[in-house]
Amino acid sequence: MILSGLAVAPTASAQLSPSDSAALTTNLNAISPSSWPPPPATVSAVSAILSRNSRLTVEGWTPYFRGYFSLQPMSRGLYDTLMGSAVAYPGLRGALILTLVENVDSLMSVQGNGLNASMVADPILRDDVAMSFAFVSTLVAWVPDAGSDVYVRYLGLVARYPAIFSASKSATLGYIGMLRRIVWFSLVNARPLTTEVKQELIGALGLTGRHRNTLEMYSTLVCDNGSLSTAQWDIIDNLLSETPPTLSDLGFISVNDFLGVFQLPPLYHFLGLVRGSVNAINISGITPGQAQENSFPADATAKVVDIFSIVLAHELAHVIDNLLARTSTSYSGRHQQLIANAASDSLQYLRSTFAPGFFVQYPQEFLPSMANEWYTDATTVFELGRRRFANGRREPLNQALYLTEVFSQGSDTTLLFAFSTSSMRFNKVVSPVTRDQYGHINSLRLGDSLVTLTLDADGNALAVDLTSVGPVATLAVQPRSTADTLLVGSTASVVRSAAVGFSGPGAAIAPWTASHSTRANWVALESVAGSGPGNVRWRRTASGLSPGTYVDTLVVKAPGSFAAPQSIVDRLVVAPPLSVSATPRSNRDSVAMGASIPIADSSEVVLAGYGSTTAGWRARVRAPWLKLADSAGVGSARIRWSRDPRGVGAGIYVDTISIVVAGASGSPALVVDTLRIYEPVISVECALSEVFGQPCLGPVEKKYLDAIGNVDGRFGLGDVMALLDRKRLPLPGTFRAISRPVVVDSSSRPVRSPAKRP
Amino acid sequence: MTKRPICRLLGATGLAMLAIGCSGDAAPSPSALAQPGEANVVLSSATGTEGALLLAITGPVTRVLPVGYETASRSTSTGASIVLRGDIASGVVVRVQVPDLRNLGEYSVRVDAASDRQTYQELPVGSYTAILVKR
Repeated sequence: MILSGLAVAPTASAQLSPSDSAALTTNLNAISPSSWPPPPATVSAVSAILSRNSRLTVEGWTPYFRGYFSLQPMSRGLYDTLMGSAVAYPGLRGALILTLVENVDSLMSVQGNGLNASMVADPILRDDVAMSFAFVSTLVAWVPDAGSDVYVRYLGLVARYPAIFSASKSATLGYIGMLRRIVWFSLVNARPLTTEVKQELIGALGLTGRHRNTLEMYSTLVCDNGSLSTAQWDIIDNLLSETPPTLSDLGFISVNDFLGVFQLPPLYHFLGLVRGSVNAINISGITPGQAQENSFPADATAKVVDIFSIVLAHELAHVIDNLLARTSTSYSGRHQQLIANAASDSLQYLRSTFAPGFFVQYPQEFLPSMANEWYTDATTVFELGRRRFANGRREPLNQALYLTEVFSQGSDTTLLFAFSTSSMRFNKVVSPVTRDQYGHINSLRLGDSLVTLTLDADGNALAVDLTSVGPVATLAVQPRSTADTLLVGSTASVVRSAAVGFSGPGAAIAPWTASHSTRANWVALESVAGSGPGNVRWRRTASGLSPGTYVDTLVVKAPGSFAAPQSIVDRLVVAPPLSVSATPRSNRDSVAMGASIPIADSSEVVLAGYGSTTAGWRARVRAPWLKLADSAGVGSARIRWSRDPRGVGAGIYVDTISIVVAGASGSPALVVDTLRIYEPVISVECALSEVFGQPCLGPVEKKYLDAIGNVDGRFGLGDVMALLDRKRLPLPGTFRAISRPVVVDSSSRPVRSPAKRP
Repeated sequence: MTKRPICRLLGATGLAMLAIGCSGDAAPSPSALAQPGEANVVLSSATGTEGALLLAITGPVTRVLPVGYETASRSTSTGASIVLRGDIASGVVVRVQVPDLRNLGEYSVRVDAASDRQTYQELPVGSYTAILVKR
């Protein structure tokens, strides 16, 4: 990006200068909507203009881009040209989000049910819509601050175009399916998926049944055009329930097969699926049981798996791989080291059925491909690893240990999977592991056998041994985590307990003991040992503790038992007194006078301290143009409202939302909301063209002119005369009517005509 | 389609519009030369409150000539739309140049809109009469 050397930057309320406006338009117009990539010199010139105006606000930029996109289509070239600057400059970003959402709103309102057919027939319209959505959605993924803005605007589109964006099953998909997928993914990416956000999405999208359950239980939104079968849903539910939420940040599943997206050109297959706060996968629509494959090479015992199921598991493994790569340097380092060790020798890979060098070329497939085997049968993975090890190839065993580590998440147990073709389920066993002095896993239980390894300092296997240990009792402690909150200064104490259970041989007499860190002096163990089933019990007190979170780990040991020891993470929150605040504390938006669509906005009501999850709040406003969608709530929540510009004249309007929580410090919390109604810039020529029967004005502009004219509810000659008087201008004489190409449909919404294209 | 004499049409519909210069059903002599010239648009029944008028002339107009009011116009091959602004009064309100005065009988003038000069309110147009008179 070229940085400007200009010493004087525009002020916060400034708009683009006429010379920069003209230069920007010239350069943007030089980017053809039908060719790609854009000319580098043009991209540089645009970047330079945007850079030297980087301090312009949303309000500063919006008039320019409203004007530009009312005449020119969004395109792949403009996407590339504007994206970098939009990420960097908040004002530019906000204006582009606003105007591009307006752009698609306008296009969709005119196209109606014919949108898909128009996008098929018209490549410029197609990219105008698709690239507008993709641009906005990519900003959501890349710039967390953009999320709230887009969330509100996209929910507005969902409400206005339920046939396109709601969960209702549609017979006409293709491009519509692609748009639904982009918007849905952005909605789960835009905000943390709190319980409140999930419920809002469930209501807005019309989610029911398995869609609703999957979002509520696994924080995952599934976009399938209502076409997944019960068998497919069962497998998704099975795998998501067996995968710890800490191992994956999956938030979205699309089924392009059911959305018609794979019938589109390849550019659109995954358009807009840019990971943000959550990750996304696309899965197959194949019927479970229709096709199977053996996940293992010829030198291992054949293990067959269902194709739908293993595609799902493979894609989920990509999410696991991606999350670990972003959060764990040791994971990334080991990943690279293992591929370097195996190099281009196919037999040095558990997945040896690929061509030599495949994983060197495609390292992102390394874990997901091995996960095919792990999810099919983890025991066979070790069988294959030991067999290759015995034949002089050590890397497959190291890779098996790597998988064990991934699914252990650093704990003292790992997850062993085995797929059953009869029940069509992934069955999971939690198996204990032990570690050497470096923290590397050096033994694990596989059924009745124990795999023991000798490792070097890097965790590479030097020797492996398999011994049969026979059946023993299996320990199970529930719950594995507990949490309570006490008010700071309280002298009260809280007693908690966990059930210690055993199953299998000797369960009735298996001995156990419990202990915890002596440094956790706020915890006192009261029941610490037993034989067979029992309870471990402990007491916590907040006396003498300052506000904060106090975590202790209780360990239940059961010598000789399987799956022992097990730990209980006990969390004590010492909370300060209840308080309330709101963020952001001021919100604002601008709209043209005459606009009739309310503008939605929101802030977060934050309750903190003791009782914050159960305390209620009430909100009130005074201004008639400000309408609360949420006037009361419980606990921290989002408070939503809208600004209704109807009947409000030009000017700046301010009101305060007052949020009251009984007994809380900071109450009432205040949110200052500002609505600026501005007069749109309308030329006399354009207004006269409309009088002469040549469409030129949009509906908002007509309403504005009526508002400053005779206020009779419709646009007419008198309104143009009022505009002339207001501008102190004479009639322009004979003139050529403006051909600002506006097509007016039955709902009188303006769209650009194809005639405007370069 | 056979053109119908504009005078007969106006008589039949009772519209508040007239075209002066009708010459019966006879078509112009094909051997005659075109006679470009000017014609006045004459308004009657103005109430004295009009601040603007929108006129529609059917028939080719080559030029619109203001006669005391601010004027904006848009001409096509088949007619012209004219906006007049000012303290509109009955009488000649605008002049137009036409390619052949002999065809004036086939022209029509219509008041499509009128607005009050103080309140900008749209005024009913049914009571206006506008005619085209050879100058």
